[in-house]
Amino acid sequence: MIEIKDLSFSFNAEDPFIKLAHLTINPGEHIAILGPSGSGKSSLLRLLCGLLLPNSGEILIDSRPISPMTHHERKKLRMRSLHYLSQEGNLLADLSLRENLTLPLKALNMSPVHQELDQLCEELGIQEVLNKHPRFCSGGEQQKASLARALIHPSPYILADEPTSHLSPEDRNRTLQFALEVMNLKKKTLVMVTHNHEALDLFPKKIESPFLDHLEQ
Amino acid sequence: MNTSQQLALAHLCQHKGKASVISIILALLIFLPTFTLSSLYLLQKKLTERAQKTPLLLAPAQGKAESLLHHLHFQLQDDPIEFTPTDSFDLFDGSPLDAIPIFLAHQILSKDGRLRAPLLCSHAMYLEFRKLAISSGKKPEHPAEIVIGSQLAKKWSVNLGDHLRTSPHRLLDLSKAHQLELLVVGILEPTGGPEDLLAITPLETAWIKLGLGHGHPKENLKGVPKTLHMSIHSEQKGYRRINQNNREEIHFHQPKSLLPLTAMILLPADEKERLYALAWGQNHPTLEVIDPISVTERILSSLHQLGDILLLMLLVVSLTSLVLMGLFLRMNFIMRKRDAEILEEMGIPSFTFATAIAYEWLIYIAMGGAMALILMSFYWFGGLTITELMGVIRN
Repeated sequence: MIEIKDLSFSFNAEDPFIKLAHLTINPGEHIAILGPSGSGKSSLLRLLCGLLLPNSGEILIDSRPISPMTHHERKKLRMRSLHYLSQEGNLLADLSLRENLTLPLKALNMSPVHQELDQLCEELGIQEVLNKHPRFCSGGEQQKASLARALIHPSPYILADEPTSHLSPEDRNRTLQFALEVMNLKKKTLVMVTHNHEALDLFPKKIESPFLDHLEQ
Repeated sequence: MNTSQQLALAHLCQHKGKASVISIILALLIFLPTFTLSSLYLLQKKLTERAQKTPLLLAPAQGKAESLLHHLHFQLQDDPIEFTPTDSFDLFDGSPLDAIPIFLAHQILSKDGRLRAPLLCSHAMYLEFRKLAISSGKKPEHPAEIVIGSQLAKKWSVNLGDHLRTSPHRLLDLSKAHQLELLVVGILEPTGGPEDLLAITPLETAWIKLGLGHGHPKENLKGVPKTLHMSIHSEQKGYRRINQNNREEIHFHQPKSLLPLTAMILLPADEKERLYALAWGQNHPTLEVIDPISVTERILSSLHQLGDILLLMLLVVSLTSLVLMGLFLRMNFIMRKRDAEILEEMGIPSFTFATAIAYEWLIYIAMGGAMALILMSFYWFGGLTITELMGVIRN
């Protein structure tokens, strides 16, 4: 479970950027975060995975507060429990898509189940480009590969920042629907930032930015 | 293979050009100072060894260092000055001083005529004096017979019984006058010295090539009045190939003491004879007696100065390269900042990225070191001679 209590964050002390009194995300829940650009959606995701630290308040992951953790402990948390998909795409340019997909598992000393990986990639339509390097793939293929990596990762939480923004509208919903099905099967929790209003029907729970004084809806 | 190694190898495979350039720079940074220092050391060793094994050298007064390098290390001069034994008659008059005559101005050509090597024309004593043994064939006993150095034989693929031509006396000697065909009668055992890369022949060959000796069928002169010998001589043959059929016809119209030499190795029996020869050389207007050890020391001190300048230049170039590589490394970090961020976002330990870069540099250094070793092996096993080393240092 992810819990936020009296969270306040700002890039400069005088001007609070995010202020959230309370938010609970239960295991297996899928939440969409909506809002205009620059309203703090991506910053909230970065706070949740410990890449940013709140000015005050608490974020608890499975009842463990993030703020008192050391940098190393937060990294460990990201490696094992929170898989973060950034807006810029997070594939390493020097590795092929397949190597990128299996890299986090390798770092965890886990061997990837290739059958599962191939099946997942086939469903996402990137099986043909698995051995290519990111620069030879389209933005959509790269996003699908990042999503596939999140799906095969053993972490229970996925924090995704507009993971389907480079896909065509029809492909976007199909991909998201498939990803949500897999997450349901694996009982993964998803917190996703999106601009795609058509996809909102797939999410039973939504929160809207700006987060100033917003409460759980 | 762990994550860092995987990242390092993937980066190198994706940036082969960059990896090659860095490795080549590192190879040169390792090779150039090592090459310079070892060349100087080798040069010093070879020059000193040869000087220690040569008591005194008598040569025309034209620069002691030049004469020494020419006659001891066969670094050929364009136009060596010649002298005759008569010029040094008073040095030997009444003295048991022994000497080995040398004529070193001609060259031989490879079979295809593109390469040249020195042709040392000397007395049979030279082989004994330098302890040169024949590995196959025999010693040269007659004009136009040669023994050839082991490395030269290998490089030029020369075998016993082959014929090699002498080169024209001067570069612009378009007539190619008196080009002789020399018969390879022996191949020398390898010595590691400069004789590995030359050919040795009796002195008479040099004089025949100069046109001072020639042959013509004797019967042509039979019954011909002496006054008509000149017309007969106009038919003389500057035999291109001297063999056992025409060898006997070769003759010189001057006594050998008037035929030219370019140097003599003097063999004083004791210190008194040595000092006498040196003193004689000091007073002679056209000839000088060279003490190889003292002249070599002078050459070496100049070489050390040159070496110091070279090393200083190399140091500056190396430091500049290191600074550039440091800047390059920094730019590399900046360009790969996003990679580091991705790993950070995935929670992969920070040292993974740092270790990957360390592995990359280890591979660059290993590749650079390997290239430097290959270059060094070309250098060591190529067996550079003094002439080649001097050429390398001059360039």
